[in-house]
Amino acid sequence: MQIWLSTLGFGLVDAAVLAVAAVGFTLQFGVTNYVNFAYGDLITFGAFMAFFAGGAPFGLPIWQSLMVAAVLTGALSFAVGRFVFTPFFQRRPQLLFALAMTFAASLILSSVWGAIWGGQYRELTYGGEQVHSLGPFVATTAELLFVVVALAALLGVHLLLSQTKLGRTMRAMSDDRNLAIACGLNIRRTTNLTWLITGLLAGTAGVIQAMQVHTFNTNIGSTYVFLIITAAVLGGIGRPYGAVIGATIIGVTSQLAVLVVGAALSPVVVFLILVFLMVARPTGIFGATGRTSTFGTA
Amino acid sequence: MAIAPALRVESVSCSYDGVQAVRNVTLEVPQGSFYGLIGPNGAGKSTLLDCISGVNVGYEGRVWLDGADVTRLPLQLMAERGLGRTFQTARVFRRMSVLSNLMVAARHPAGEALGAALLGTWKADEELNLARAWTILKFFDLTHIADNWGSELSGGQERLIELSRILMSHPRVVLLDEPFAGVSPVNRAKLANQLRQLSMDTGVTILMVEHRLEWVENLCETVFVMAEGKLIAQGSLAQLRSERAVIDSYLGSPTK
Amino acid sequence: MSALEFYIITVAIFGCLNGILALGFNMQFGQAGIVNLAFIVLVAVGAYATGIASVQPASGSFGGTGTYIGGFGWAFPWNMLFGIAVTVLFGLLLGGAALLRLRHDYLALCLFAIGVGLQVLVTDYLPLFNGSEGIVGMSAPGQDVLDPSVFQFVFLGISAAALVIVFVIFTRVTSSPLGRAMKAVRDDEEAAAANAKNPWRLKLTAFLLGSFAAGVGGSLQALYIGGWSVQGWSPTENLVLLAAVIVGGRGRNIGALVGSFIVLEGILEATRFLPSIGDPALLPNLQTIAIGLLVLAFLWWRPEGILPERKERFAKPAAISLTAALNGPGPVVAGETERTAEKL
Repeated sequence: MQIWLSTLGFGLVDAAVLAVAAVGFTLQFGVTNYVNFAYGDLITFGAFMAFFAGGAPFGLPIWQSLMVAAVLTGALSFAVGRFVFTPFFQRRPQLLFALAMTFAASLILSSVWGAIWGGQYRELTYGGEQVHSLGPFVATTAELLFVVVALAALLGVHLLLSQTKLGRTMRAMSDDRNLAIACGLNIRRTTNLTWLITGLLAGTAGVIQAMQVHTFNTNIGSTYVFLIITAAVLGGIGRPYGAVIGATIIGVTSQLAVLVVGAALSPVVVFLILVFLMVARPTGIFGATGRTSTFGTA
Repeated sequence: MAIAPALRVESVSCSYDGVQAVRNVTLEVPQGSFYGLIGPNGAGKSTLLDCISGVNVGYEGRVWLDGADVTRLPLQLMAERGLGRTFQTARVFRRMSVLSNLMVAARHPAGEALGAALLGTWKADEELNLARAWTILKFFDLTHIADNWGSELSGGQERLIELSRILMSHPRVVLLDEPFAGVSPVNRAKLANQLRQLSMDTGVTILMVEHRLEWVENLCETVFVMAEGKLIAQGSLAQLRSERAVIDSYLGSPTK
Repeated sequence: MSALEFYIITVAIFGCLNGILALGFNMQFGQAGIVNLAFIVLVAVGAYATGIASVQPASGSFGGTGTYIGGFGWAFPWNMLFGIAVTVLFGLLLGGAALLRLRHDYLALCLFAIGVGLQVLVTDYLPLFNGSEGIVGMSAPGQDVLDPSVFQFVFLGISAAALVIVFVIFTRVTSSPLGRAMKAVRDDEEAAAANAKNPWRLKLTAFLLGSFAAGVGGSLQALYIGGWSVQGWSPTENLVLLAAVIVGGRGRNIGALVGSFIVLEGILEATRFLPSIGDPALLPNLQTIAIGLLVLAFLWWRPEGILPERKERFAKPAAISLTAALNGPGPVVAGETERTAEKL
């Protein structure tokens, strides 16, 4: 019993990080209405930025590294979104081109990371190995801090979406883009800021994920997107609150699956969830937004 | 026994985006007739067409086509059973030529099976369909653009191509969603004549949604009027002009 | 045979094999509009299946190293046929499930995630295909008995024959009403359904034809290389195929072949002899960047590719009456129309 509960605890830690990443992915999809295959490469970038900020010659403490990494990833996301993706979507709005474009951009970015940083593994840790018991759960100081940071980021997104004009515009664009345009909302500014905000989330998630796994290389983001996409689809793509639920389910399930089928096979469980969603409920738990219509299948 | 109506819609209700767009509509279109469906914007006309044709199968109520129950059949199966429709914004296959646009709509062409495609046993069938497509293009006076890309057409041409394409698949009932929209004023009379000829010569049953009342009056023997999702009146347009409810909801408005 | 000749034939072999894959990707992406960025997974299925059919059982003749399923020790062509069959079956399952309800970007997203997920799974779960080490030890037909230079020619012959077969099959499909209906579904799925086309059947047919090409190409690649591992089917390999189809001209078989040739020989082979500087992983990364930029450049300036899709050519149509053309229901019998045509 104890092992199940403590595994559940690990799953919740995973889920918190995954939620930050998945919320960023799903928000970006909802607002811009385009799939961004390069999202995982932003995660990688965030992890590396924290690694370098914390190492020589800067030697920043981990909190500052995290912030620097998040801001730099946000800036990169903004730059790519504002100066590459948006002009591209305007010139070639057809879906086929947009998908091909972000896929190519993703591989360009990951190869740039590979060319600069090579394939070797780096280590990013935040000490804090001391173990705490919280009721049935056990967690290290570091893990508790991961959860706190993740929850703070999610709270920030919640406040943004519920309390600010920007957040309301983002939700309006996500629900019905044409209506939002017709209402005269500032589409361009909101889109740009969405790239920035989702980049911040990707950077944050990247740093925490890197600390979670301790050692990482440039593949960290491109494999993590598997969980991110599944969580986002499970929650209904374009729905940030759904993504949180989706991430919780995926995070907990894949940890519990380790107990049942072993670590190597635990992706199979996530895989089965994804296949089930594809066949039975493509719109996820809460229904997808935007262009993902499923005609003739109601 | 009386002949079954070409199309019978019974108590169809449908919500769209949380709004009750169609409320309990019942109507019948007899074989070979040319009926109209009018109503102000947002009356639920297009949503009703979407329900009948199976674009939207999330409706309540029943639909019969030629006496057969086709309730909630999806679009493709409705088309199989002889229901053709056009869309409010014309849908043309953009990266195919106009002639290919028609050819693709032939009903179960032999070469659409993988085996036949590989063996090449579809040429005779293709010749026949080509002759049909060409004749239909000629009827609509479109042969000069037969080799244009689908993406190179004017709004009016797109409407005509969509209509000709529907005719390639031998429909028995055709739902037209604003066929006159986007057609230049000079060509509207021509289109009206073509539609009338179609209806008379082929015996196809037509239900037309249209805003421009002059054409509805010109073509349709009977008109249904919808407002706020409900069917509020039915009759010839001349009769309807005197009905209070119709005037209030629709005809009375000076812009129409 | 000089080293240069040997090299040229090797390049030609990979040209043929990559051409087969580009044709398969184009069948899905260009012809039917299925943005399958996990196409390379199908290739991997063909390669792995051929691999496990060819080699001896795990812990058998290779000193007990490695763990993988199968190990049938079959000879050519049975191992290859097995590989193709498994790929088509896998394509049937994957395509059948994915194409049932998913559309557009949702479909692309889920297929992409499936590809990443399978990559993670195969890497981590060693008992399946020996993890990142992969399966080694299969040999191409004649490789063990023939003189290496003769073998090169033999395998070039096999690859070229496979390319011709796939090309002929695909051309017959794309120039038939079946290919036309696929394009209609690609351009507007709903309008195609309104014309009594079954989008699922048409897309699945294209998906299976693509899987067939992936099986042929993947199988031959595994046999020629003599091994297959996770590196062989990274998303980068999929980018190479995407680039081939975008550069050459999507929706046109010959375009996919030309594009495949340009990308493969123009970038991958031309940069092979650059002086290696520093990290050996640098060159592949630079190649990927170049191919990615090539895709972006074509999408920006010439999205239709070098050989754009063409309109269908039709013979001169026979004259028939309007009544014959319009009267339904059901197809008119050929003989009747001819009579009608005579009367006119």
